[in-house]
Amino acid sequence: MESIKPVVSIERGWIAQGEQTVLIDVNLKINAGEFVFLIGKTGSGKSSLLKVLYGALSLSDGHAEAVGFDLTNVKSKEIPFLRRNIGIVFQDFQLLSDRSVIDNLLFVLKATGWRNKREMTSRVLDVLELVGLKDCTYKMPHQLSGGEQQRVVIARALLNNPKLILADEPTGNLDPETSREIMTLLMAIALEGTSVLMATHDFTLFEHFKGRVLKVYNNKVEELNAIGSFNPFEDNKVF
Amino acid sequence: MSKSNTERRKGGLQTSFVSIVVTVALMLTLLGLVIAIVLSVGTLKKNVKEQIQIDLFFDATLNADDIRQIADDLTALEGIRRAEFITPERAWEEFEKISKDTKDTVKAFDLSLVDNVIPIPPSINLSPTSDFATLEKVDKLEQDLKLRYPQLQEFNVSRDTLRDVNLGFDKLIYLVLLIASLLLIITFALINNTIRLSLYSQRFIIKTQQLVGATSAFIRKPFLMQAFLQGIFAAIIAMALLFAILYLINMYVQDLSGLIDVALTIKLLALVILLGVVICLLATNWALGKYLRMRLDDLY
Repeated sequence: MESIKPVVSIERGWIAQGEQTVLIDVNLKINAGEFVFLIGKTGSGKSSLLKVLYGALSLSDGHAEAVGFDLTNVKSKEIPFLRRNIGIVFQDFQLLSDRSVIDNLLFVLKATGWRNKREMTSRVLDVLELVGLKDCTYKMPHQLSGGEQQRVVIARALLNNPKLILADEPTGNLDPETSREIMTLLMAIALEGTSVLMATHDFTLFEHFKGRVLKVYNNKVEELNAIGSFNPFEDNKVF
Repeated sequence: MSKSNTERRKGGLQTSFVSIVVTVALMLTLLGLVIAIVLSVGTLKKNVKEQIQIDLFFDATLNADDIRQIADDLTALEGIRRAEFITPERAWEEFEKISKDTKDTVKAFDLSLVDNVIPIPPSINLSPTSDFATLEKVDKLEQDLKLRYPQLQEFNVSRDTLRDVNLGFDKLIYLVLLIASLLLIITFALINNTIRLSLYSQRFIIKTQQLVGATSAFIRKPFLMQAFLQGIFAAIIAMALLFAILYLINMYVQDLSGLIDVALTIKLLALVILLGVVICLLATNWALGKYLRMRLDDLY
């Protein structure tokens, strides 16, 4: 049987921030369509691991690949093209407050090489519909609630049909109800075939949502068995 | 309604554009004035050096026609701007024009005309070009002329004036150049600071573009276009201000009016445009490089 190449693969990876070693001997594989929680305390190294995957931090040792790019030898000129295959959803990676929702999204398409205006508008409306925000197309970010803003950020991450979504505490600023909506959306994206790696310190999330769980603890990344196996599309009784 | 939201928000950025243009324009005007001084000191030095005169006297074996011929030959020589044959009558007229005290001395020594014979021989009055108005070159000219014309008896030039003109102007030029260089550095630092601060407010736009996969060239392009326009607009304003200042100087300060001519003005304006554009582009490029290299965590 032909093996399918994983979307993310790290072998014996060492990660350091400056002089300080953050993670040692990381071994990790994420396949297409997988939803993976990365849990750990604040400052444990979750964000550093994500940074390695989107090319903002180099491995100090080991080997890593993401969305077909060899991260061990990636050149700075190739990083923009790596990022076009990755959707990034951060708590602090906010929308540009000086332009409307549609302009925020059109801006990303323009920055990533789209030229045809009709195709660009059509793609923007598609992703807004996907996240359920078609009515907010012309609103300014400050006119949206926290949950709606995060949905726009997810829509932005989906624009270039990424193979991988990296989400760093995407529900960190949201109330439980809105968090559930955002989680449901991310799970739906994973079901469509896009892998999602979500870093969170909210241990209750993975009890309710189905996914692999990786724990960052004592400078190591370990696989955990998920306590819950909740799938919002099969069972809604938990909420 | 939707678009007006975005349009309204752009007002803030336009204000920053205008404030950069005004700052750069004022700094360029100041720099332009110092450059005008540097350029006009050069013209002034040239003018003063061209006023230097050398008188050549020959022995009695040469008659007036021979000397007139020599004057014509000298005009063709390199380094000589003007060579004029001076008849004894003309020399006497000049002599009589000089101050009363000198006339008294003339009377005391009874140098008045005896039998209508003027006691001054025919001579040549020549002026070197400004490049040749240095002690070394004038000495060399004297040697050459004495070799070429053995009848040349006297080569009169005020060597003290020559030395003073050259040394004095050299010192002045070095001083003005020093001030201009300092001002250029200060101007660059201030413009660089202004542009860096204005780009600071856009650091998240820069970082967002990087995180969604925009290339550095794509991110830099609109900022550099804007910097180019800022340089051009600032240079236009600075040129208008400089024109006004130079016009007023030409009108009200008679001694300086000849120093700032059309050629100098064109040079000055070309320099102002070049400096405006280059400084804005360099400062923007440096600031962009800084924000492009910055890590997301350091942006807050």
